[in-house]
Amino acid sequence: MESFTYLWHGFQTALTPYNFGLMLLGITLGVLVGVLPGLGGPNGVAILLPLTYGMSLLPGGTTSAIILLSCIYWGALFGGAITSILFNIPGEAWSVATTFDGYPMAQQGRAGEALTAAFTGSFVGALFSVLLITFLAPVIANFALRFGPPAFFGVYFLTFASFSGTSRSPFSKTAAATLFGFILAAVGMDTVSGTLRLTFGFETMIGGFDFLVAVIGLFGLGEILLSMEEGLAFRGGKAKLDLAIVFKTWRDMFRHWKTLLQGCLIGAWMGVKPGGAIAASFMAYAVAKRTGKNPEEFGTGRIEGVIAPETAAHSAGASALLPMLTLGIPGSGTAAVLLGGLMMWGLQPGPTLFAEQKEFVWGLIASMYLSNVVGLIVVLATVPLFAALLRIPFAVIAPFIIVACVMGAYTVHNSMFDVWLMLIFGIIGYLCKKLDYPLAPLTLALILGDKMEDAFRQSLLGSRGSLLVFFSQPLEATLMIAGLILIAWPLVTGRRRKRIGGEGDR
Amino acid sequence: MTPSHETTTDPNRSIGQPSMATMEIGVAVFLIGFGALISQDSWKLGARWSELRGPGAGYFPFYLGIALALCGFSILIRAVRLRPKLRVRFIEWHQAVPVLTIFVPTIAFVGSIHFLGFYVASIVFVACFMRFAGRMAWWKCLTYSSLPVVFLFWLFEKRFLVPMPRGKVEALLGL
Amino acid sequence: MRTTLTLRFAALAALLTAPAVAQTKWEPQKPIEIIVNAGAGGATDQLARTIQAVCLKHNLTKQPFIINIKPGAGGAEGMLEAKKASGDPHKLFIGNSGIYAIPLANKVPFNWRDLTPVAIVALDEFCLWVHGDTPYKTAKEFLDAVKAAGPNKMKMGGTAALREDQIITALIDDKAGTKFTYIPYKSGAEASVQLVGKHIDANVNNPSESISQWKAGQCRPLCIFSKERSEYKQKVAGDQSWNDVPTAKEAGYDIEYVMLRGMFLPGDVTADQTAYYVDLFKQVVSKPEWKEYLEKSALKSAFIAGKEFTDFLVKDEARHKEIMTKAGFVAQ
Repeated sequence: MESFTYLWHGFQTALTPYNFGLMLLGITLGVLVGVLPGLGGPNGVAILLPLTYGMSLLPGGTTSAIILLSCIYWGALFGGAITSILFNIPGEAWSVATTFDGYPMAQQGRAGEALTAAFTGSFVGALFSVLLITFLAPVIANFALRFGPPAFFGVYFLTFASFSGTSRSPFSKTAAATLFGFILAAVGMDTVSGTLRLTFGFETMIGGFDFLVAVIGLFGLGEILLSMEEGLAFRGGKAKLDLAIVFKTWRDMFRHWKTLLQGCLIGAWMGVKPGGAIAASFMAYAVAKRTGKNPEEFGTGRIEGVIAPETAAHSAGASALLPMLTLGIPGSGTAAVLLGGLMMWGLQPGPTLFAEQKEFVWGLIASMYLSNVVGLIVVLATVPLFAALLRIPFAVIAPFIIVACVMGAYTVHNSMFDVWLMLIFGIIGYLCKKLDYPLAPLTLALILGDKMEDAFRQSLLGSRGSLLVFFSQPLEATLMIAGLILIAWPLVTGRRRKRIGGEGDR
Repeated sequence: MTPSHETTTDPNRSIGQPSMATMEIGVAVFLIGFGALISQDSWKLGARWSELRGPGAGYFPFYLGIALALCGFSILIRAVRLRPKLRVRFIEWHQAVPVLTIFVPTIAFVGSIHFLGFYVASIVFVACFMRFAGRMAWWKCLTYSSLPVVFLFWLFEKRFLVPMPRGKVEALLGL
Repeated sequence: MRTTLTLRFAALAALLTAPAVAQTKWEPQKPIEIIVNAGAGGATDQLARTIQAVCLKHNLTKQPFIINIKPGAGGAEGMLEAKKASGDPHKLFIGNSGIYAIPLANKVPFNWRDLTPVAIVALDEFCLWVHGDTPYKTAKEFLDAVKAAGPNKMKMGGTAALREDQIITALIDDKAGTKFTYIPYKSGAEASVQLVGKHIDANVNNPSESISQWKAGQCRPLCIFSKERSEYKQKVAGDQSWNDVPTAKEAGYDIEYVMLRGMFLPGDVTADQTAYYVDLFKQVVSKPEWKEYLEKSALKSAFIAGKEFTDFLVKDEARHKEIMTKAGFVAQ
């Protein structure tokens, strides 16, 4: 009960006019860095960090600084969805799954709907996890400790398994795309052996391929090339521009409560371990697709396809805060910078933080609640503004999207090499779409591939090469068996469907 | 993500334009070669168990490369088998022109960053694209291109201190 | 690259704007970039941000700092970035023992002599940590148990492969006659959590990476791999302070390893420019916020610059070469 006193106190502090003003400022700044090319989450928050530092030095300023920082954090997360939906350029790894249906929706003139669904989904997901943290913090923190390398491998395996069989492309092409993604992820320094591999002697390749560079090329530039085939016409021009769309979408979203709930649960569960938000967004998308009434319509602009990954990613993003605070392991690049900020103010994350720094912890949680609500209101108000971007003639917006892609690719590592690489990925993305190689498994493998390999080899190192390690504990065994069932499922049902209808070769 | 080659129904083939089948076969051959290259490099790196480092650095990529080459074979066989059905052109001429009108200037744009710096190159690229692809009036092109870029310059270089590649123009202006 | 014309413009501008400043002392003209070759939020990043914060608070520089995170290739990417910036006095690189270990373990074309050493601002220490529930009270008890269990039965976790953590593990194996299975993780924080979750039996984390878990009683340091005990006598966990942790030598194992935390400029900078930064960091390390940071992270305070720093590097590099060659870590 003592903690609720602190929480209540946190609410009171956060609601003073000064702090409320800071919230609005923080959200706006956050959305700005989330939307601007090349700033994105981690970079953007890092840039704004010194701002909060100066503030925390003032008497009683720590709370204000926390509020500002958490608002920037949420704003950046909200902002990431905007570019994914409008221009097919994901700003963070977990926004990739949002593009699958969000971008088609924007092209059909339903950008306002997609943005509203994304923002509302994020809000619900985050709120769910913050509530969970408020009531179940110690339980969740201990759960995160149970993940050793075999369990990590199990989680990644399950993510891939949930995606298997959902692609409409021929099997050999899906497999080839996945393998290609894995190979790209393997380039550079290998964590487990500490050696360089697949660099073929090029100094510029030792850092490996950053997924952001690849994704900007594959999705952003590839899409521009593809839409150029139809000339300079842009398909999103009919976007509705009034706020009524928000309420209309909310009405629709009630019907998808199941998807929302799935997203919340998957996100909260996956977010507890590091890097969970990425896996969560992909997995929630796959689960929504598998359990949806018309799986084959996913990818053509289904609203569930936006709700599921956004809800899961933000639910995971919020629940990842807990391991960050109690274990010192940030769940994402943005959270890592947030962690750096907290340490700059002299807060050492760890199991004792909740006991030693009650006021800070509950102040942070209180500001998470409030900034999430304020954030939702602010971003929803901007929906018409962003949807209006699609009304700009294509001849004007297309070169700016390319400038944005170049900026985005350059700022990842401040290197021109990455920009050229992005161009190559643009061609690959274009070819993949033309020749029906699916991009989703390619990106999933590129993003999670090296983590999965690390977990696999760390497990084998520990077990001296025995594969039984993946089935030796209840947690690991459950994950692996669930994954195997998911893989086997479409083989069973798919064969039956083939016997009845036959998909026919193209 | 609709496979667009199904919508192209023109069965005529003209010389010089690749058909869908040719592209399919080309990509399949590339995948086989790429897979083989990866496996070969991984083998050199050590694809077996080692006492010091456990599963070697090449362990995963070696099998990935082999599997990729196998997928390539499967795609190749399928493409060859379905060749008559895949006589559709990979891209129509009236589609290829706009694709190239954006891609070639993009390459020129990225190449010119080395000399002009990011900001000047962006203004030139955006203005020229609006002028030649969008056929807009020059004054519009220059205004629409330079104002946002100047704003980006102010925001990134002055406010956020994120450095982008610079050229001689910025130095001459003393910025 | 700059033409003489631009130079003249710049000189003219300088003359007009700042006639009072004498031309003897060099000062940064634009934001100073600090290259951090490790992940955001990690120990190196914290060091950079502390420097940034101290300079900001005490107004030590006229120009702001930009922190450039380059964690790729286990730090090699950041090293090559610093090497490429040759002649640019507005870039700083934070070096640790990776500057010799990485080029030795891989054929990365880098040598610390490509850079200009400025100063060591701190030394990082390493401890042998075990889980709080284990019965071992001394390093000897634990290592004897490891020996008794047989080779490859006990797991040692650490940050990255073929780097300081694995080097220390090799030193332990050598002196104590044990044989650990070394499991590399992405960061010290991860290795720390893996120990608390009992997925590994021990790790050799820096004090700062495990301090919070120690406070909570989830893990315990058995010894510190330093010549003498830590200088910090403030109680950290229960009635224990860093000063109460015995050295490895006291525990009966002649193992010593400290890691430099040093600032470097790219190659080909002038003596004036180097002198400016030596002076700057001398001021930084004298501030109370810096001392507070050192104590909080249990870093060994040190300030080594000039020829002493170069001598340190030469000696340290030779030692790494010797240990790594013996352990079979050097790339053929």
